Amino acid sequence: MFYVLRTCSRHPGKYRGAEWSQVWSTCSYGGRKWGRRGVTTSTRTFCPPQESQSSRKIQQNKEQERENQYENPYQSKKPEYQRDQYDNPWQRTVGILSNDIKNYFAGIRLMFRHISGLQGDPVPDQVPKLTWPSHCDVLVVGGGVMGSSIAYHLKERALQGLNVVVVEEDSCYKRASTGLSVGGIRQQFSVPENIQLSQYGVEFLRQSPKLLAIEGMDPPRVQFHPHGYLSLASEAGLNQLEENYKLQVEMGAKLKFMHAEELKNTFPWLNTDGIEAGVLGLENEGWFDPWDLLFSLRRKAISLGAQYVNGKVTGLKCKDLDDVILEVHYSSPIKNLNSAEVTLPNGEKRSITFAVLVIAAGAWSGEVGHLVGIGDGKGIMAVPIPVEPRKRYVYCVHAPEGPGLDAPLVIDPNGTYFRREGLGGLYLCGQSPEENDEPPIDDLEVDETFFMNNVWPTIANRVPSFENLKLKTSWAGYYDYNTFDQNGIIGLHPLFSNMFIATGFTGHGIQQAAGVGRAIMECILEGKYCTINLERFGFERILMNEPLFEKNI
Amino acid sequence: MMLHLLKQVQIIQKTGWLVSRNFGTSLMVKGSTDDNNNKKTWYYRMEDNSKKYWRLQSDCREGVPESEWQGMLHHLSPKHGISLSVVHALQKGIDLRPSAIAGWYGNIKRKISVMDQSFKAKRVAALGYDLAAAHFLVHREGKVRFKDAQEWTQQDENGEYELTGHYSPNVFVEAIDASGIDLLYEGLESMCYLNHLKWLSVASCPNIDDWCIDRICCQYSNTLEYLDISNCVKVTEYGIAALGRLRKLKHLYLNGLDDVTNIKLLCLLLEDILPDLHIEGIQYMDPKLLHHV
Repeated sequence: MFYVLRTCSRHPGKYRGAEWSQVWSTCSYGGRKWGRRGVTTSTRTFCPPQESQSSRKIQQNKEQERENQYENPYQSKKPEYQRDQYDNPWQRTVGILSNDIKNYFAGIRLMFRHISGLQGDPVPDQVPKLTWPSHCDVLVVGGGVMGSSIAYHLKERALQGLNVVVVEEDSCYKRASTGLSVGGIRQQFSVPENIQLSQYGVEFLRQSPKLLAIEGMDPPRVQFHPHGYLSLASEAGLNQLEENYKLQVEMGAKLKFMHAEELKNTFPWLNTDGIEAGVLGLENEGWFDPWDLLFSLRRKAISLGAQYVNGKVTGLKCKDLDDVILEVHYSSPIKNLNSAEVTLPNGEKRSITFAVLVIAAGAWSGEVGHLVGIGDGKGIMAVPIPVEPRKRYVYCVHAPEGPGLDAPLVIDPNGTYFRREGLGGLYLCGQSPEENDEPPIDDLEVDETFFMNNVWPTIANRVPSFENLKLKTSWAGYYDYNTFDQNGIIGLHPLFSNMFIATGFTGHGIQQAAGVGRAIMECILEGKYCTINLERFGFERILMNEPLFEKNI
Repeated sequence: MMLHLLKQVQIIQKTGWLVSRNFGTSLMVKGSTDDNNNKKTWYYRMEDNSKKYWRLQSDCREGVPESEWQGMLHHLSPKHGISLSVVHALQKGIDLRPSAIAGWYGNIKRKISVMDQSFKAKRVAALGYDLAAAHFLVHREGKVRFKDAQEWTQQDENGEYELTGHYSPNVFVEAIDASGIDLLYEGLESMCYLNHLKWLSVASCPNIDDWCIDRICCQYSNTLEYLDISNCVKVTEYGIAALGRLRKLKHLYLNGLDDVTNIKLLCLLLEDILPDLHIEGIQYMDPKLLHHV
């Protein structure tokens, strides 16, 4: 059978008898059950190892490989070996099938080597090279916690039924909001759906060691610090605080409403001047490690079969569906997106054809919308996705006399927050600047004068022992700031039949990632929201100018 | 027998033939949901089979009008197409490795114990919070001591115990010893609103982790004076740091938790915040060093 395959290919002379016999020898070990176990069975991930060729060719290929090894992981070898890209469809089919068979046995061989201890870590020659996913079912733009959560929920429900590809520009997540966030989770919101999303987020975190576990690897450790949030209100915000508290308790959150004297008794380090009351979260509130959540979700999605592509989406093609017309001010046809152009890190451009697009690009979702014309058109297309990056600073200070072990995450009435970090007297703090005082977003440089002028006075006023603190380090990250109403935009765009948006969370995305991932999965697979009804977060509210504000104190 | 057949037909009509094969396992066992009974029974839950589908009515194969003749097979034909759960189950494949079978069985047992230990509103409605918690614990071989009582209420050798089956207003639970029960996060919810609880032991419960500590701190923050979490290996440093929320804590037992990172520093910090606290089970320093002095 293999001999027949060999003669069908274009260059019969390339394949020696040695290789043929090697394939036969592994045949006798091969069995379906071995292939399923430790080695990932996605037939598109392995390329045949080099030792199947003669030593001279190995030398030549090694030199060439060293040149283009880390440049483009999708360009495997010289054109003769790219059997899955022949023009003739018969040869292409035969090439793909024989690639699959070779990779299958190569995987088995690798596994046997690993078991018998012949080799430790895989040599770079044998590191699996990926094949380009030219077609997929769901393309997720953005591989942060939101995109990874969507990919995980989709793959977990649909398994091999959906081909999910996640396009992430930076695998190190240097500018992604996920890694730079403070990682808090709370149920103290005023919009009921936000509370429900957070509650599911907490439940997901609690069950993440089981849900995101992979056989043979360490389970995720989200490092949840169950200390609670303390929202303080001055006299001006007291009514709003009480209203919010009633709603939150009705939705099932465990909170405690405390007046100023009780606050003073419970937290002796707190200065309650100007504070009328506060709400303390008793259960399911605190902070956790966002990096661990991101990498656990990503790792689990990959193990279930999602493919992460390192590149940036620079173009989107759509076609008009002429048989449906939407008439508003301007009649505009419903469009169907069909392919995306992805620019790889080495400048090469490739395209992916997809069935459903999900924009989870965080702070840069507005740009992705502009790629397809959202914001540069007439009528509905004149309204852009109102998400833009806004820089926020986080400062890490050392205060040896500070609040101590039992301090919750305290939020001042003017928005300044601080929380304990570790056991050595370190605290993280920050503040959202005023509207007209927004820092520039070109880079992630930190402005320390903002800390001196705005943050330190507030926290020193609130906690007197913060007066003699020392600023140790700081960093900046982007909020995916929704300029319309600072709450997430979730759901289909009205003019596109297959484009979902899941962005604009303005600082509370990390706690809602699990819930939003599940919601988008339900939309794609079942056509409606099954668990939490997020219809009010749709893009339509922007078109109808009905903002969904968080009523903050 | 006739009722059984009728029920089969009803289920087939409602859900389509693919799901009806589960009817044997999805019927409720009679009278097993009460924890007041001394019988230990277990049950499967009937799934909510009346889900609505997003496809329109016209998409279904119900095109034959009522007045026309419909064959018997008409009722067996799928109306809604294959559901996502069925596709998922088919794709998961059958894993016959012994570890996978053990994992599957463990999953089922865990789901049963979660359902068994979760909060039952009927129990609380009949007994009030304190007696409901007492029944919950004693039925599962735990021990409970009431306020102003000297002895512990527990099961004797025959598995019998004495607890009132009616609500009485001045009965408060003061001490709980749950060290024999495999207490879960959901089980702690069944012990909620115990306003006079002073003494709690969950020693050697393997499933007590940081989230359970969070729940304990939330539910008993005002009154708990003695807590024993010895040998709860899933508790990490973050859970122990959160114990500072128990404002009245006087005794804390941490035997067997020496592997927690920074445990000694945590204990010192806890003793700073809670002035009356006395921690046992942690050796701050190796006693062999004292021999040289």
